[in-house]
Amino acid sequence: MFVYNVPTWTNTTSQLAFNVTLNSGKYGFILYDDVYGWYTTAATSFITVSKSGTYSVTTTQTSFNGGAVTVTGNNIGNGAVLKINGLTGTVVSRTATEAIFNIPALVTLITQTSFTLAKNKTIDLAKTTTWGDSPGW
Amino acid sequence: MGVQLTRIRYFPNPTWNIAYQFIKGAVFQVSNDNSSWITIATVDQTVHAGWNSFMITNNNIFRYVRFSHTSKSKCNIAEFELTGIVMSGATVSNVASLPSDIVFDDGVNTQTFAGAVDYR
Repeated sequence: MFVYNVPTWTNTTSQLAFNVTLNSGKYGFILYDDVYGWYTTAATSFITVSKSGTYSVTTTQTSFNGGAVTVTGNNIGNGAVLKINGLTGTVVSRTATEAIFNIPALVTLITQTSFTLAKNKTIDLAKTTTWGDSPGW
Repeated sequence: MGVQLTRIRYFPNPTWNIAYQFIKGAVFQVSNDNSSWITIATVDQTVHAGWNSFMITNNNIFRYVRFSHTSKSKCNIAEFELTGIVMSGATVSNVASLPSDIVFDDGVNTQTFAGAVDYR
């Protein structure tokens, strides 16, 4: 989440217009001014920013304990993620033309036996589970 | 994703001072399809107030874990704790090299890069 301070705008009786540069992604938004406070927006009010062209990735060798990979492309947003074998990697750093993502460790029975990648520990259920108290939750 | 469990701990509801007597017979179960369940621990007569522990010897990976109560217990546990290792469900047959796809999602569009990461 971030706050964008609108430097200049134009308005009519029914419309307010201003420019903002956004990275790729889908944004919910709500408007505020010092006179009227928070404006009401429809629940379906989203700004979708889609990058033109394609992304590219440099083929990377990494250990089973994880690493990093670079995705090249313009205006990659904070919400961008990549998945490898179903595991999620998130943005580590970013410039206007590329983003570096972490490659998650690939812990499986065989890799754990071979390399002892992960430690036995209490599992953070708040982060890893869906809770329910009835069938089908 | 799944978990290789090594221990389960639970704490009967402390506000119901006889809860520990009523949850006898309840079971802890695991599953990979949320349909067929395997019982890995059963609350027996040794249940007591405070933390109770089960050491788990089943080394398989399971996606789901549940506490299944009896007709009397009504899930009267206050705390539930799992210890183990969270693992990927990916099939790894060769630890010398595992080419893997990257699925990149920018929040709007998805793009797949086949074999872009080689685990070694």
